[in-house]
Amino acid sequence: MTAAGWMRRFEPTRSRPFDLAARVHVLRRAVFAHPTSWLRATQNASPSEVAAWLVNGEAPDSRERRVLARRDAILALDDVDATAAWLWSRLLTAQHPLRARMMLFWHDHFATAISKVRSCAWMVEQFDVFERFGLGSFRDLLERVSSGPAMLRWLDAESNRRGNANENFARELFELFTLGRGNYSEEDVREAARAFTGWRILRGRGHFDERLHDHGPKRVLGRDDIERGHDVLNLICGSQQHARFIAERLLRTFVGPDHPEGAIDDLARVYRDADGRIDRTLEVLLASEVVHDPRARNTRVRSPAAFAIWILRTLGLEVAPVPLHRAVARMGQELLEPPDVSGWAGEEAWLSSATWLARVRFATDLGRAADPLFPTPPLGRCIRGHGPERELDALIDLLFPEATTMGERVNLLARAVGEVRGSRDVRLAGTFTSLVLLPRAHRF
Amino acid sequence: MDENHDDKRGDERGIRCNRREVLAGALALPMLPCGFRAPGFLQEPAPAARSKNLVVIELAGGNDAINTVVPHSDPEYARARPTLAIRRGLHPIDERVSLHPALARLSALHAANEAATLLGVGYPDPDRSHFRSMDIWQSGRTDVEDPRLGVFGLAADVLHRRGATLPAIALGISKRPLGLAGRSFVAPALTTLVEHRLELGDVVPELEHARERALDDRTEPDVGDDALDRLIKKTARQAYGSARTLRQLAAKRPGGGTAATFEAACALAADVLTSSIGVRIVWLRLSGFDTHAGQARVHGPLLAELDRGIGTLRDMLDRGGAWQTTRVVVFSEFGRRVAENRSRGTDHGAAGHVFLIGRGLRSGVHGDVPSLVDLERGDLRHAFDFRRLYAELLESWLDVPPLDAGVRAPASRFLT
Repeated sequence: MTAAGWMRRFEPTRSRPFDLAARVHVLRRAVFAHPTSWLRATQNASPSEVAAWLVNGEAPDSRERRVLARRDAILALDDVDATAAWLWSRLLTAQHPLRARMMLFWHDHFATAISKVRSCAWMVEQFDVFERFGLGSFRDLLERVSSGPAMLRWLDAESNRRGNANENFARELFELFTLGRGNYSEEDVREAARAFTGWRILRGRGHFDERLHDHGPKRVLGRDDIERGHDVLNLICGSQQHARFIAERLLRTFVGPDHPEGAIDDLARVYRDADGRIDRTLEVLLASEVVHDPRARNTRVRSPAAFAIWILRTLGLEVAPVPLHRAVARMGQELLEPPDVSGWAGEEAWLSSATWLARVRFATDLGRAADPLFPTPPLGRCIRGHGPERELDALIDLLFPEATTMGERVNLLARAVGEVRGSRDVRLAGTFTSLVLLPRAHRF
Repeated sequence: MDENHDDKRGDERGIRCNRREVLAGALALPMLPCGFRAPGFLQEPAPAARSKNLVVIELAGGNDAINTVVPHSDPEYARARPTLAIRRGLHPIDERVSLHPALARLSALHAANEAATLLGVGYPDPDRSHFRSMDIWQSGRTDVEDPRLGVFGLAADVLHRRGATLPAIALGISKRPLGLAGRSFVAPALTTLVEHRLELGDVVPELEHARERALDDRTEPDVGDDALDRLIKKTARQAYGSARTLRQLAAKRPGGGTAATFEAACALAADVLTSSIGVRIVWLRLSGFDTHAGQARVHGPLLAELDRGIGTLRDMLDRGGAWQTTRVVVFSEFGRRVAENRSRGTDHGAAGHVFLIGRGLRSGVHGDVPSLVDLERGDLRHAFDFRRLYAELLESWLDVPPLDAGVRAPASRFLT
């Protein structure tokens, strides 16, 4: 595996140690949260060992198995909110947090909205594909997603027929899923659309119908040996530009919007050497110089999902999933309903007056007793210590373990202190709310 | 949670601080400063003498221009649209073109000289991607690869600098559209006014003020803030400020104001614009125009929704005395292909038409009817660059120099 340039392994030094702050950073970037148990599991590990721990994950525990066992009951309801809430439960109980995080990543990448798909089962099937193939070969993932009923419906595959190609899927395939704008021509879109003719949905599954397929010659990206959609996917996935495109997406996600330009080619090389396998690519990336560069820290805006997962998993709070789903939707990230096929705009676009007030409300709701979100166990039982100072200290230890210097902690406390009066629960709620409304709680 | 979180990691943490000292430090700092000054956003906006407002209506998905403004006199129309051509119930607005049967109100506004139809509007080298073309329409830029700034967001920045506390707002949309993205002012995007409130939990009334002040305090600049800190703080500050403004507005209105439908969003827009809270630009969106298949079934109802919304907006603004000072512009990211496809739908096209609505503008149909034969890769050619209209709206309506909003095109003359 060539891991050169920005992808070379981060070797800690005296001046750049792999300390708690560094570990917290990589956990936040990779899986949003850093509960004490994860910090303990990665204690004394090298950067590569942490990356391997993330990529390998752990087997479902009893809690996760209980959530997964609800599948049939949830699908029987065929209710959008219940389905989204159940997916939230999966994300929050996953013992392979990186796999769960990649489900969200692919949901953003292959952004499909239930308002058009109109089938909870098909959306769940797509999430299952994200879960099962999301850390495997991108080529396999792409093929499964493309031929799943959710995507076929979402991008009008059913009206893409011989003699009258519908370009919707072919265009987004090039533009948003694999190559990026400017790397194909309008002619390529038209021709590729013909290669995908024949796909339709039969009894809830993707089905290729030979009779509806356009068997004529097609020329895509300069190649004449294209017959079916399959050939287009192979052609794209083998291309240099595709590797760069995926590398850029991963860098934007795990390093931030301002990643070094040269890192794209370095990561593209890793991706190609890994035969397009996401797990092997991420294992290199997460242990690499570019992810561990101190300049990469705190450069991203926490998405609503990242914000919620950070708080809930780090503190070990359990909340009712339906209100949680609605709360995250109010913050601007409605699961199963991305704004369009390009996914969520992300970064600064998360920050508006309306979504900020939703963040305030979420933080407030988590702290108060009479709310439907009301966490079990409540905040009070997740936080050790009694008395304003110990409670504050315990909260800071959990949420901002990287704040290790006196100055930093004084600053956090000074900005955070709410009321010191009232019962322990009222106090904790106030302190918690003010801590998670600090600007630094909204970047990672 | 883990019982060891408190101390076992202490050695790893380097300097471990003494809790008592830290808290003492915290408490020694002024926690809840008692308003030495009223922050800018708390001050009442200066009562504007009916400032000029703009309502932008985005038809998302690519509205089929040809079936919206039907070239009824062109024999090619029926040929291009064997199943989708509309023959009955059209509303002629001049000898060449008619509005779709669902656009009764808009046609009446034409008859009353309160509406203009601009034919063949687009930009050179059209892009058929929704996102790219929408980016171009909302940023006014074809030369920026991934635009982050919108024409009316930049205009809102200018108005904000001149003292408007809430110059622009998107209603019925939960995410700020690119068109309203500016460099400094963060435009709220709301689906209900009620949604836009500050929730402080079960706080006793005496504490509520203190909590609000504590929140405000956390938006004050700190030494060492970087650009992202400043952005987050500014967003928070403006969120609290606009929440206070809209709280006053919602309190005056039964129901508090929701925008569950496009028409409701139009009604809310009228409410906001007649309430003198300083909003100058309202962005509305009607989605679903991406009619690749079965177009006839969906296009008519969508246009009917648009028509109802425009009617409501106009009537409410008229009653509130603000119609005279409002201009409405309706656009879509592109029109659709001239030839229909086999799914009885139409694929992404190029040029489209724009509606400009208001009292006292140059009403009527402007421009030549685009040819259905002389096409650009199967699509209508544009004859008029939309940025000329932007330049005019900025310059002679919003009083914002077009260049400040990134618009270089010479202004058109449709408003006066």
